Amino acid sequence: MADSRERPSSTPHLVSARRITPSLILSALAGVFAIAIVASAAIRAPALDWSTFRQYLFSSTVRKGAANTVLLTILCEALAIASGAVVAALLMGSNAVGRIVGHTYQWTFRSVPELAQLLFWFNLALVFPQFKIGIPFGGPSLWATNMNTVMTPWTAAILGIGLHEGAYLAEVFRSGFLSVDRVQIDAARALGLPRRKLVVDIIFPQAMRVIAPNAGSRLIGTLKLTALASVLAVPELLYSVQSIYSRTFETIPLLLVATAWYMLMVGVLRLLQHWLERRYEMPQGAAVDVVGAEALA
Amino acid sequence: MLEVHDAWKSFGSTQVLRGVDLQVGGGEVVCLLGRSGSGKTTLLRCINHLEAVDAGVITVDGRLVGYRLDGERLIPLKECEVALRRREIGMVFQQFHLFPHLSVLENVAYAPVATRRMTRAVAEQTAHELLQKVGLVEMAGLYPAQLSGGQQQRVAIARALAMRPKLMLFDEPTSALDPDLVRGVLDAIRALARERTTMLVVTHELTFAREVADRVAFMASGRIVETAAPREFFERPRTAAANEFLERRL
Repeated sequence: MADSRERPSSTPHLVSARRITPSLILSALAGVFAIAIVASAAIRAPALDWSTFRQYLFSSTVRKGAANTVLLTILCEALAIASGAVVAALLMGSNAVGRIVGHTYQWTFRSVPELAQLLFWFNLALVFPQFKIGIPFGGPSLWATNMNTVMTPWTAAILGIGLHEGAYLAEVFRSGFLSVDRVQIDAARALGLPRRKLVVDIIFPQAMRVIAPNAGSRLIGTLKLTALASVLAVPELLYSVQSIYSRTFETIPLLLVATAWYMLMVGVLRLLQHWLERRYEMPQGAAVDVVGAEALA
Repeated sequence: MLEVHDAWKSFGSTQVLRGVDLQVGGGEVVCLLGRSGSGKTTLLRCINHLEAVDAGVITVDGRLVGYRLDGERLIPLKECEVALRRREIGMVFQQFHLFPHLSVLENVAYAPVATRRMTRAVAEQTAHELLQKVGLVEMAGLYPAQLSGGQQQRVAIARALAMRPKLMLFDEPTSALDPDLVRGVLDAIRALARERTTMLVVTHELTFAREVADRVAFMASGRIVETAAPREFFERPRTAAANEFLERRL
């Protein structure tokens, strides 16, 4: 079937483009030069005290702070995913009351600045001094305690950041699900698939293609939002370095310590995002050339 | 096998089905012809309850698909009950609608496993056999986007067959294909016809209908106006509408 005729060398043929071009060499030189300027200035600037940077980079306070930032991010993101999924389900559901609840949630939690939300949660005791589980409207309570024992800085930070982030994730989830071709639902229903299988096995994996990149960048945003918890004295990364430089006044080296850790964490999250995107990638038509030709034969 | 009695369906103010009557016997192949917009696709979608009829009774293998009958009233079944009935009915769409995130083999083997009709091993074995039958077994590991339209449609046929349906519905299975890919799909349907699979095929391929169909049903403005053996239909159409349709086509 295959034709073994060779291409005559006289036929005009495409020359592959050069990979190293003058413009590439020029921009590389410019880049090296720029880095050299910044680096030499940074090394000589007295405020950028690199020995202090090295001294604190792995100090126990900073390491604990970094660990707390990771923990806080995980807890906030868990709450954000849970609330986002519920709100997205309400928004896409057939229940009109549910849709109103979903829209109101998004409106509320997207309107108020994150920092203000944290302060609101933390000061909840001013409105409701008692935290009570029981029958509402003055009925008997099963369990009651002082609000301030429940609403610790940690709780306030998790609620403030998590619920706010949930309002945005709901939108990410919703757009993901809407991106799936409606006819996929027809095809799955025609096979007699139960609703749960349809959602989990057919719709969700296809929605993830749109959800993964957006949710990934939102997660990086959540990581950085956890720095807000420093105003409630949660001992996360930013608060940890602040607690050191408020004593030593080595502000910039310690902010650079925090920067280094944040960059490391975001680097890891970027890898996670990349993995997630690859995981839900759909193979595109690369093999068509070969199999298409066969089909015609 | 399939009985449609006085089916009515409207979308808003547009009346699409106006009292459709149709019977397809076990092992019979019926081709449904008619101009675009005559209600063929809607009828097919009503048969497996992807659309709900407004009135009328549709039974497959003696059982109502989307409703239960309470005197004169049709009471809609729950989604999960409809899903059970749909497993008896295979459907092949004009635009294939394969699951793009599953490989060819997974597309075919998925539904029998998900609905617990078969274990994974049995389903994959069955999928291999069905892919063999439609001539695509060597494509089992590829993904839908890597196949030509004709190949995708043959996978879609295998996917529907994997549920071992009692009735197969085809909605213009070759209309979205380039002319040179039509043959492979029609060959696959021909093979099913030889095995006496009960089929209702909406098609514009008149030569194919003439060759494969046991009976031809002709639809015009929401009704089936003529049903006949293919030879009789193509040579001596009884209605003016069918006559006009054939004259335009042949």
